Amino acid sequence: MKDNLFSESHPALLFFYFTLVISTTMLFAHPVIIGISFLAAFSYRLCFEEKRSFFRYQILFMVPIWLLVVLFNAAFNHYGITPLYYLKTGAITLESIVYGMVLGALLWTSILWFANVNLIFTTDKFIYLFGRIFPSLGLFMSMVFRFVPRFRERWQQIREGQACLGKDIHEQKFFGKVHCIISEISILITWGLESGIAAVDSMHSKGYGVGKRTFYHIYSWHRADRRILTVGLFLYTGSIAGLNSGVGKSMYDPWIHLGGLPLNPKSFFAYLFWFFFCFYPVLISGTGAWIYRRQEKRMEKYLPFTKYSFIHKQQKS
Amino acid sequence: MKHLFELEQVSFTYAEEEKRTLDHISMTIEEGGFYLLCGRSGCGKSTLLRQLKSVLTPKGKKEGAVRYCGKLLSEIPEKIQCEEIGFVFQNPEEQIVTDQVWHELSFGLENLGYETGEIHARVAEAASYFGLEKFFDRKISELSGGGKQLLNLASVLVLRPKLLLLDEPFAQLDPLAANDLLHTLLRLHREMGITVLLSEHDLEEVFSYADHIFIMENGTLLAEGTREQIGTLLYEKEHKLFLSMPTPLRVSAWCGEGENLPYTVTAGQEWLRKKVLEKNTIPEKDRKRTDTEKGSAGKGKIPGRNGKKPAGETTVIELKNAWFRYGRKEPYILQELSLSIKKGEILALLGGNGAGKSTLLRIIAGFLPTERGSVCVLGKKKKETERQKLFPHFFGFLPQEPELLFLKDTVFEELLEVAAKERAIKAAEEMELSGFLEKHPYDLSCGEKQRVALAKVLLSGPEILLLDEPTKNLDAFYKKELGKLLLKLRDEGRTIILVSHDTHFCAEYADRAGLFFRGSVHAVRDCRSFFSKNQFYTTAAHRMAGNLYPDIITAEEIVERIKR
Repeated sequence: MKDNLFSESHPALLFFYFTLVISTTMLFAHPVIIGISFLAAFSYRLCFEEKRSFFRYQILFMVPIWLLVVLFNAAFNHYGITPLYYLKTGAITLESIVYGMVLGALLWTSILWFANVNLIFTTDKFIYLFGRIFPSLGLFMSMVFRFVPRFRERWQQIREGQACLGKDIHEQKFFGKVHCIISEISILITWGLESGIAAVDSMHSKGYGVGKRTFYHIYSWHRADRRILTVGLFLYTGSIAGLNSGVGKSMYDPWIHLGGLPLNPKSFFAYLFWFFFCFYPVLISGTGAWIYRRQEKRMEKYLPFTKYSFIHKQQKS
Repeated sequence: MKHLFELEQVSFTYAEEEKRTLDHISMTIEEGGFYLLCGRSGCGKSTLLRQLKSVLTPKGKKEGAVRYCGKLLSEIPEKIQCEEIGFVFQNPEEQIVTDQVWHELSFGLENLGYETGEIHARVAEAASYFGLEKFFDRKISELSGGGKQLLNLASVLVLRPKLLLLDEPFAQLDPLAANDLLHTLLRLHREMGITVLLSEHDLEEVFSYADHIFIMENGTLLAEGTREQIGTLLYEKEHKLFLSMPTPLRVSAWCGEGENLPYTVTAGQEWLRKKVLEKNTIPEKDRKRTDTEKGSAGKGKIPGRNGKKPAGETTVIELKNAWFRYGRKEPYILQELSLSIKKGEILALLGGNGAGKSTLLRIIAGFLPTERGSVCVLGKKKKETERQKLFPHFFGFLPQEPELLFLKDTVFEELLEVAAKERAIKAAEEMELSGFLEKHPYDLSCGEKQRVALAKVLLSGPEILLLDEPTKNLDAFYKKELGKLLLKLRDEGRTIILVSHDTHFCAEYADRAGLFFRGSVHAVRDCRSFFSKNQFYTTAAHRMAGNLYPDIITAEEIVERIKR
């Protein structure tokens, strides 16, 4: 992750932020709010690496899904006062098309935010958050994450071993295949039990079950986290105060009514606050990159060629 | 010195068994010592070590008394035992509990209820001492086997134990990683005075560092004493364990040396020089002679070398410029690899862990395709799918862990799985499996498991035998048995390709050897010139005698040369 400072914040802060931004976007099904949120999620996703496959995925999968939502909503819902075209089952109305577009955009935006969450929330952050509440669950998950890849690897090795004895699964007919899989699973279970016993021995040897477990983690609450939290709360309060006072209101049935449009000073500020709140991760990452570039200039004095990172790269690795 | 552990007439019988696994064992462990517990596999070493920590003691009948610091072990609270007695198991993979390095390090401290600050201080200290800082927030699966075992050691040491019990910690590691771990242990012992009790069956390296050695046999303590005493004693008793002693010690004992046996390579060189001077042989002359004869006649000079016969002329398998990698973003495992394998030879491939040796075997067997290049079998280019169809008649593959091949409840059923009754019985007799045909394959010792797996592979009648680390976990005696078996198979006309770290085994039994490095096999030569030209990747015997006799590669040859 290059220049992605926001993701380095404390996991609790990250969790709090993403919960707020996703739930608020969903709560106000308002085109402007969704639009801003969509742009923010999209730009934040671009702060991560692997851009090309992301764009391809968006165009190939998300655009058709969005169109489908619009189509279905228009085809099956016939509310509204502005009929555009008549089908046998009823009228296709402007209202249902617009609502479909909003609904599709809402779906798309949430998927984008969840994609970001997925990239940021590595398993250890997840374990940290939920391990505090359910300590044994945290340990259990950590053990599962260790076991699953080993299990897969073992399965592959068993399959090879069986192939050596002339029982290649790919050469078999249906019943032969079933027989192969059954014997593979039987070896896997035997191995799993044996290895489980070893793991339990090791756990007991290190004092598992002797007393009450404490909870250790490697995340600490930095000053920067406090700053991010304060500014973030300020932005969120501002936007919620604005949006709740009618700006965020939206109605699509029977006619379209959107609060805050056309723009007036109140709605302008509400949207501005919301804009900054949504773009908060991008802005933090951006400032991080900017701060580093300034520092780079100062470093140049004594550490020449800092800008040309390829010279220093070897030292890092 | 203070007695840390005192064992008085300790016996142990497993539940549902009648024979005693441990039989009246008495021993004393003093604070600050480096103890070595040796014995062949299955002699009760692990069972004895497990008696020294209450939570690990298996179910069964205990007799006698185990005292820790003067008190009965059973009266010492579990928490104190957890902290003061550290235990490292054999298999580095299976004893790891969590998925992250930092979590594994802190696991024990969390269990004992330490505060976050204290845990952090100890974990940080341990991580930097053991060089794990770089991996601190990484996944454990990114570590190598040696790294994992180091992590296991570190995660025990954060509890600040007085005594470390290690149950064959090197058995699953390659020699370089094993050496690293051994030196870390020695450092801990010397710098912090931690008492170490280590069980091991391969004594080539460990032997020279131990202060005090216990020898176990069939559940009893056969002998104990210093290195010198043990070396002489085992030789005089003609004990099977003598085969796993360091090469210099074996050579000097075989040459009739009675006292002050050398046990390091340096001491061995010194001893050999003296011996040669004594005998009035002129080594200078000898060297000149071998130098001139090297390559052509040097090989035939030494008699009794496994009755080696020249490899046949037909090429069975030929790899040409093969390339392979596991994924588009992964590095290449094989790069421009070319290798040809002759019919009826034993080819050994050596190289570090993770160099891709096992991958090469998989490619030959047809489990994996090549990205570029070709594989010819018997002169015909074959795709991997066609090669797989040649199973089970052409390739036989013995995986690193023989358990992978076991499906049934008894050894005999395992054999019936691949062959009819008469053939299975005959094979069992040939492989000396008759003694435990009714046992569960998981209950056998490592050497026995290996033999059963090999018998199963051989029953399917392969022409080419692919062995992945066949000597891992075997003691010296079983290695010898395996070696004899391989020679017999070769003489029947089968081709054997083995991948190994074990230079001693390869030097003794292989016809040709090659070094796997950076994705291709370098310097495939006949075994003698391979090992005698290498400086690091060679046997202890060559390192010991190479100055005087450049073409010697095994311990037996040195003895031969001196006695002549």
